[in-house]
Amino acid sequence: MGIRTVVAIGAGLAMFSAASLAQAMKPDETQATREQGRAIYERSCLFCHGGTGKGDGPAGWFLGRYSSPRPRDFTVGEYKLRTTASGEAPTDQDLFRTLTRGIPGFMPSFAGLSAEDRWALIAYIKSLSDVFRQEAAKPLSIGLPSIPPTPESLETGGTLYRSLECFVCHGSSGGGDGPLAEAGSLHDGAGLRIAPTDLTNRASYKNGASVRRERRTTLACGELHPIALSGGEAMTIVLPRPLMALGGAWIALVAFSLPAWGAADSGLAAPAGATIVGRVIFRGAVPPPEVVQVTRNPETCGASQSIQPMIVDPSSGGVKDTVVSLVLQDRPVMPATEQPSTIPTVTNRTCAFHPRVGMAKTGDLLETRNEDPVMHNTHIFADNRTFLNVALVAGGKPVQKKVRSPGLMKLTCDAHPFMHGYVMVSDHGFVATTDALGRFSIAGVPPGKHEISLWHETLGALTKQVTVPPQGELSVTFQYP
Amino acid sequence: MRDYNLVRKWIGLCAVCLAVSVLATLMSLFVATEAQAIPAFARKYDVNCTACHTAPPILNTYGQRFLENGYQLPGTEDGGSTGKKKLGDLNLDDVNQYIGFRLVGNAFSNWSFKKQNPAGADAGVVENKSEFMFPENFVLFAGGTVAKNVGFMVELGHDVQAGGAAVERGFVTFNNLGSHNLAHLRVGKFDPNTFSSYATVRQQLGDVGESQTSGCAAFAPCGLNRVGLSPSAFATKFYGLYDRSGNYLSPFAASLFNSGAETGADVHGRPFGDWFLYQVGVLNGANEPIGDSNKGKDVYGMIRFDYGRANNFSANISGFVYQGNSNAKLQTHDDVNWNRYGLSARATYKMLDVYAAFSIDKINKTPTAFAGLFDTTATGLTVGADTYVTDKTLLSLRYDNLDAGGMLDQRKSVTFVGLQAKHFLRTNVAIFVRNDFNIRKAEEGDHAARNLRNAFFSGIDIIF
Repeated sequence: MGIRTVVAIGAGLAMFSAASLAQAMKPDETQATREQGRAIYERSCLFCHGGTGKGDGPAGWFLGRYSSPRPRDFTVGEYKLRTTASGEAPTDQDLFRTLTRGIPGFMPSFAGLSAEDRWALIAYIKSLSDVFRQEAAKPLSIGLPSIPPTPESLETGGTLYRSLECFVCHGSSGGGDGPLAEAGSLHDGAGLRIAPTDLTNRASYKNGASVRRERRTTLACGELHPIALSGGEAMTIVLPRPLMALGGAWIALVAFSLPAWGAADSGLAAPAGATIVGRVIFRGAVPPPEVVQVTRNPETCGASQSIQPMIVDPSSGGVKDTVVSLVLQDRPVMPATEQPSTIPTVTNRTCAFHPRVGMAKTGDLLETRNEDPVMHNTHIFADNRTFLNVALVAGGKPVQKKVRSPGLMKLTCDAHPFMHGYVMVSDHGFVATTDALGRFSIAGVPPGKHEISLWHETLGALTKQVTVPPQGELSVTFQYP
Repeated sequence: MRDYNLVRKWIGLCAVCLAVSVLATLMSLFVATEAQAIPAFARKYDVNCTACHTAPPILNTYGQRFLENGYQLPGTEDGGSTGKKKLGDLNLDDVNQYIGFRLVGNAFSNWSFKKQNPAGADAGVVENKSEFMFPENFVLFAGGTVAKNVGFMVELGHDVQAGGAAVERGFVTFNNLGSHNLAHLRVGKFDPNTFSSYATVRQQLGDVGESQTSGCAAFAPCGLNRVGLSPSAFATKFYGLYDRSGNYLSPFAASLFNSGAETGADVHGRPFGDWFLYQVGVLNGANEPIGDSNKGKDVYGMIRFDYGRANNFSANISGFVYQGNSNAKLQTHDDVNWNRYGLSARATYKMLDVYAAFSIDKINKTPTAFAGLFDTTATGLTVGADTYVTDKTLLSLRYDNLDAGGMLDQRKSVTFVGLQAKHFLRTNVAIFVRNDFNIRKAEEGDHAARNLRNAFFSGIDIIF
């Protein structure tokens, strides 16, 4: 029996197994079901996930101690083990599968519970987060070929492993001891240190180490395995041969082709109304930039980086990268727009974020891309939690994630800690950033008394009350300090 | 004299260097050989040790409920055929999901005494010395479920230094009788207090047994070369007690409700929810092996209250009563009833784990001839704390105070503080250094309880 036959049989069994799970009877989610699920939760899940599902149960701290992971916070509604697009909620089948199979190393299988009990438990867990009250996410559907560990695929995998800089986190031998890991640069949203998977140790794979589980890992790699590969064609990443000799699991990460996610529901188009134009100026001495020595990728980033968050036009005093936003008393009805939607994008270029200060609207797909010939690891925090943590390899394709909540997002790069940026997210679109001369413009503002709020990375916040006419232009000037 | 001291210092330094070298060699051996080392239950459920342990062998709340449920996941009855191989009528896990072993003990020790080989002590035993040794305890254990709600545990222990192997614990469990968590039955040889807030068999600072003088006759006083270093709240506490065969009972050995293993049956459960646990049991009697002499059975009861739902916090408190029935003898061969009453408590918040136990032992039915010669009351207090200072390094502290009872001419109270730093190379492989200080070393006398000033240990703890 050839190895291809073995793999084919394995894949068949995997499909059968998955189908069996998928066909498990799922009862209607009623209040009674949720109550039943709550009772099971209190007996089986509370110790790690906590009484309110916040992931703070009495036994949960010890799983990772000072490191990631901690038990999932069900109230936030962010899940890693799923087959849906990045930023989406998992499907019910995703939850059922995780509950049934467990998470190797961290959560045991709860196959000991009846299928009915597991579905009831899922109904209760879903009731803990608003994420599941929205339209159910659809699983990504892509075909993934089985790739046998032939000498050719091993060679290809080894080459890709090196060229994609997997070693930066996972180490040259796959032991999870890459330079970024050793330097302690990888952290999750709670600030806990992330230990990259030890690819030589099957027990280290949270999503399982079998071929079929690798496929699911790849599907959900937007966050579970934060790496974006280019192209839609299948690629194999296989561990170098010495690791095979150690008995480590061979992995086949197959590049995935995310479906077109469609346009965002709306861009920053604003309704008809008045336009607020203005300038933000600074009078005073501009502090000198901070010079940071570059220790990684100096051929791209330069030997040093000059960090200057205060960009002031010397002649006019205009301040660049100030966020100007309206604080609306009553949220206006936003008329439909026929303008094509825009996708706010943050680009990694010459080891800096462009723009350094950007803006987005709730519901937008925030795009992150890399134009440098080196790998960046864009880590975006929203409200001190990780919004996106993604390794962008050189030449890789962009990664998008839907923005759900307003507020200031902070950007950094785990591979180049001197990189910083911001994205201000609003839920109404009446936001602008100042240009190099400190100018801004916000169109379509409804009439009435409003507050204009300013935010700058180092200069801080300013506010001003204005009365906006029904039509025409309102000119406003702000001055720091 | 000065040269002699210099030589001694050099010898000591060389000994320490050698110890470090040996430990480093052992470490490198263990680190290099195995990448998938997880003990039996962790293997079975495919999780890390810390899913159930704060720091092995101490259990977290999830591990405690797993234990209470007869080695089934909390809230489940997964002992059936789920996940097991079907061999005709048999359902089995893989063997490696049942069997594990633990090697734990000191590889190096250093003893320091106030007086070298005082009168009555065995020559060459009580003297300042550093010595290498092989870790004392090797335990092979098998446990799990054989059917839905039927579990078992067998521990075969071997004392490397004393020699010999024995079944330390062996019992079967019948779980969820009546309804879920209403009643779980254990039958066999088990540790009675395993469900209380502070379990005897789960210590970060391992027991260091006392050294008795050689040639002790049956029902005759037996002197001590060196006191034992063990939790005082669990200890026998009395000087001058004997078992049925006339063997002198160590004042420092765990006993009664806090025994590491006694033979009998008990029932526990949480009929009113997670906040309350009860336990009642009957034992052949302290120091009674299988085959009771029918002198009488010992009975006990324990209740425990739990709190802990969120904020990475949990706390519990337990109270117990142990009623002995002719469970010890005096030098005159008279039977006495030896009872114990105690409290224990534990609180865990994130990296910090604090626990304590206090017990009062009372001897009843003391012959009138012992009036004025025998103190019938003794108490023991043990307070411990563990804290992770890094992901892999655990600091532990234990305070023990034993107000001893028994024969007034033999008894001597002791107070020790032990400090330990344990570094987990993996979650199941650790090395440690430990030092025990005698708080009462400045007090007068050559008694073993005063004479031992300081004890240093380094060793390993491996569980596969």
